This record gives sequence, structure tokens and C-alpha cells, in this order.
Amino acid sequence: MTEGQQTNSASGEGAIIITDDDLEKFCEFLYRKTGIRIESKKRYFLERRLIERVGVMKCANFRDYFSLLHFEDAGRELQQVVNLMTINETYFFREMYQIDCLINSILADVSRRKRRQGDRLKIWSVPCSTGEEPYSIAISLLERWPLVDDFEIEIHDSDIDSSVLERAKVGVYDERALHLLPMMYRQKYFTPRSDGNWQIISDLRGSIDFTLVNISNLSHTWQYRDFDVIFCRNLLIYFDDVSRRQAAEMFYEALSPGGFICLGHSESMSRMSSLFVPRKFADAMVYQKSPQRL
Amino acid sequence: MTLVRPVEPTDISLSPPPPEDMAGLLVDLSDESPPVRRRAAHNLARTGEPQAIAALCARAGVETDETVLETILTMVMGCRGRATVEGLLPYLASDNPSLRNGVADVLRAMPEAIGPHVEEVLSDHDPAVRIMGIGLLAGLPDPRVSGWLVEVIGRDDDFNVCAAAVDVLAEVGEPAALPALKRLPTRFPGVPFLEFAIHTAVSRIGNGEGKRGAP
Ligand SMILES: C[S@@+](CC[C@H](N)C(=O)[O-])C[C@H]1O[C@@H](n2cnc3c(N)ncnc32)[C@H](O)[C@@H]1O
Repeated sequence: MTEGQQTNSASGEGAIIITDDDLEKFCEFLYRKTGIRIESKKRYFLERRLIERVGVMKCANFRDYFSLLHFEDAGRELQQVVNLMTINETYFFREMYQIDCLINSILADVSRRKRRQGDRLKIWSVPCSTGEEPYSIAISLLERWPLVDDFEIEIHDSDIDSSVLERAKVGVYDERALHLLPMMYRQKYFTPRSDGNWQIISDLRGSIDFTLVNISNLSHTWQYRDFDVIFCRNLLIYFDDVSRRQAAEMFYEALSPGGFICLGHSESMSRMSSLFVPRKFADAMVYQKSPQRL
Repeated sequence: MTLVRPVEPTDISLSPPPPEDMAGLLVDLSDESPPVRRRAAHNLARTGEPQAIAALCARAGVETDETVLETILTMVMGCRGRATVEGLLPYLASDNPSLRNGVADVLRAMPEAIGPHVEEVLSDHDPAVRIMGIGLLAGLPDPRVSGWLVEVIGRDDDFNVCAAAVDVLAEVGEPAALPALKRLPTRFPGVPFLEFAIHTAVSRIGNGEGKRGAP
């Protein structure tokens, strides 16, 4: 589309028009709020969603809608837009080699630094999307880590999208989400439902908490501290260089000395920050905050 | 079961930002503890105030802890604009490679703010600064880039500076740069590798590969 060209939702009266300039402003706004950059090839998708929202919110035009986004106190509409723009793809035991690495190597390193039995061990899964990742971590710990009973393990889980968090709390999954999960775990940690889906048992749901966090917003993240391990997988690929570097900063602050961060398979900390040391274990390459640093 | 439900920070939308004031943050930026300096850098950048950005840039020049330096540079990278560019430009001449290269990365991330300073950098008395400046031009979305580089290869007496300009012209040069490129060997006769670089630039521009946006 060329500069100044306009788009109609439909021809005729009342059609909502969004110009290239409007889209540009909106993308800048979304970027400032979330760190997410919409690639130009996704603009068409964005435009359709925005036209829909202008209609739902009964705004006369895009300009009115945009000022509502800016000034609405509770930020409810901004949350709606964020929910529409996120890509939530995930499933149980995705990129399992990293969870294997957690169990086989990382936790041995971390637990050596803990003073005594009963100490807290803190893990943060962010973004957790609909919950498959943190539940996979929890099940793997309970089933496979021999020292699981020696520590009080906290698994914190966060995402920017409020709708996925609601689904994570309910914990109901279909076959597609479960296809890699061994059947014995399904039988132990899920209950079958009449609609063919499976729900995480309440014991497990009760020990995991889900919170709304935008990792690019310091006022969301500043209280997240002293983590031993952070999983941040398949999010930073959607960020630009500046936001990635800022995310690395935030994780550095959130980790204890010697803490680890696990990224998705196509993400590399070395390209975004020199704060962490790469650690190559048998199962995976992960990144560590120096044990000597505060 | 040993999984314990975490006590999460209460409602994040209500939680206040860290209770710090600008004066306190400025003091913390020189604190002896690196974590305190890093935290001060985060919070100062968050204010976006020119005074805060100036203080961060000044601190970058004397910071000895690599992690704090990286934090400062990352934080000012998010504050695009004049204050950041003006605060960092002097470090292109720094003897500290982490600072010099880190600053170049930050400046490259804010091309729109560099434009007004290009001529000043390209006329700096230090050839190392001129070379760093030329490196920044490769990613600059400004129609004047090719013209600036042509001026460099026409007037700069430093061979290495001209060689750097030729390399960038090969990436982004426009056909109007061809005459100056072809004249350049007469300014530095008998340097084979410069001739090779010029040849590459001329043929790339001739094929339409040099100009930004060409397929
Ligand atoms: C592709 S999912 C990844 C889920 C899981 N980590 C995995 O690897 O399967 C990406 C998630 O990132 C979330 N997200 C996007 N921007 C975010 C931000 N700024 N802060 C926190 N979460 C974000 C999205 O809502 C989405 O649920």
C-alpha cells in the first residue's frame, strides 16, 4: 500500500477508514506499550482486527478509537487489543530438551548453591501462554527430579495476554496440546472430560499461579526477583533489538546470582546481551548469570 | 507435593514504581555497588528526562563495570533522540573498545537522530571517529548518505577513512557516486586492495545493487 492510501471495511456509508498513517501510529503505540513490533506483512491482519474493534467499541472513526485506547483509565480496551495481537502457539513438552536440561543439569547446579533442605527454589515461566509450559515443568519435576522433596518449589507463570491466563487457570486441553505428553502422565495428572478434553488435576492447578505481566514494563517486573531459573521461550523472536536487550536486562535483575535462563531454539542471548555466560550442557545450551555477580 | 503456590506480587496495575526521586537516582548512579548503579540506570531511563539521559551518558564515559555499562547503553538505546545522540557521540573516539563499539550499536539503533550530526562526525580530527561515523551511515535511511560518502572520498586525506567509505558505498551508493569512485585511485595511486574495493563498489552500483532498496 502506498503512503496515504486508505482502506475501507466495506463500501458504503459508515465504512471505517484506517489510513497508513493511522496504522503507523497504532504500531508505534503498541510497540511502546508492549515491545511487540508488527511486521509490515502482518499489517493487513492488524487492520482487519482494528476495524473490528472500532465497530465493537461503537466509535465513530479510528481517531476516536485511538484516543479511547490512550485515555481509558482501566486499560481494558488496550488489553483486548493486546490479546488479539499475540501469538499463543504452545503445547505440552514443547522443546523438551530444555526441560531435560533443567532436570539433568541446571537443578544440580542451582541446588548446590542452596544452603539447606527446605530452601525455596523459584522458577519463572514467562511467557506461559495457555499453561502448557509451566505444567510440563511441574510434571517433569515431580516425576523425574530426585531432590524434588528437598525444596519448596515455586513456579511463577506470566503472560501479557489476559485471555490465555484465564485458560491456563482452568487447565483444559485438547489432543493437539497433549500429543507429546506420555500417556502415563496424562492418566496421573489429568481428568478426562465428557467433551473429550482433559483437565489438569486440581492439586496441580492449585500449586501454580498465573499473573499478567508485560516483560517490557518495569512497573510489572520490578517485583520479580531472586529466580533460580527463567524460561522465556518463543517470545523474543517477536521483539526488535532494543526490546530484546531490555528484556535481557530485566531477566538479569530478576535472577539470583548463578541463575539460569532458557530461551527458545531459535533465540540466542549472545546476540542480545553480554551479561550472561553461555553454558553448554548435554541436553541444551542455556545462559547463566555469573554466580559472583549481584 | 512440594510445589508451593507462589505468593505473587499483588495486583501489578496497582503496584507503584520503585519509590525514588531524580536526585536520589542521580546519586545512586555513582554508588559503589554495581546493582545499585544498574537499578538507578533503569529508573533514570524510565523518566525519559533530558537531565537523566545526560547523566546516564556521562556515567557511561567513566563506568568501569562491564555489566553496568551494558545496562546504561541498553537503557539509553530506548530513549531515542537528540539528548542521547549528543551525549554519546564523543565516545566514538574512546580508547575503551566496549564503550566505543557499544555506543556505535546504540547510535545505529536510532538512525533518524544521527542525521544532524553526520557532517560534524565526518569532519572530526580523529580518523578513528570518522571511520566509526562512516560505519553508522550504512544503516541510515537518509537520501544524503551517498552524497556524504562522495564528499569523504573526494576530500579525506586518510587512506583508511576513504577505504571505509568505499565499502559503505558498495552497499548503499547511488550512480551519482560513480565519477568520484573512479577518480579515487588517482588520490592514492598504487594501492591494489583499494583498487579492488573500488572496482567492487563500481560494479555493484552499476548493476543497481548498491542502491538501497534495489533487489
Ligand atoms: C508463542 S507463545 C510462547 C509460549 C511458551 N513459552 C512456549 O514456548 O510454548 C508467546 C507468548 O508470548 C506472550 N507475549 C507477547 N508479548 C509479551 C510481553 N511483552 N510480555 C509477556 N508476554 C508476552 C503472548 O501473549 C504469547 O502467549
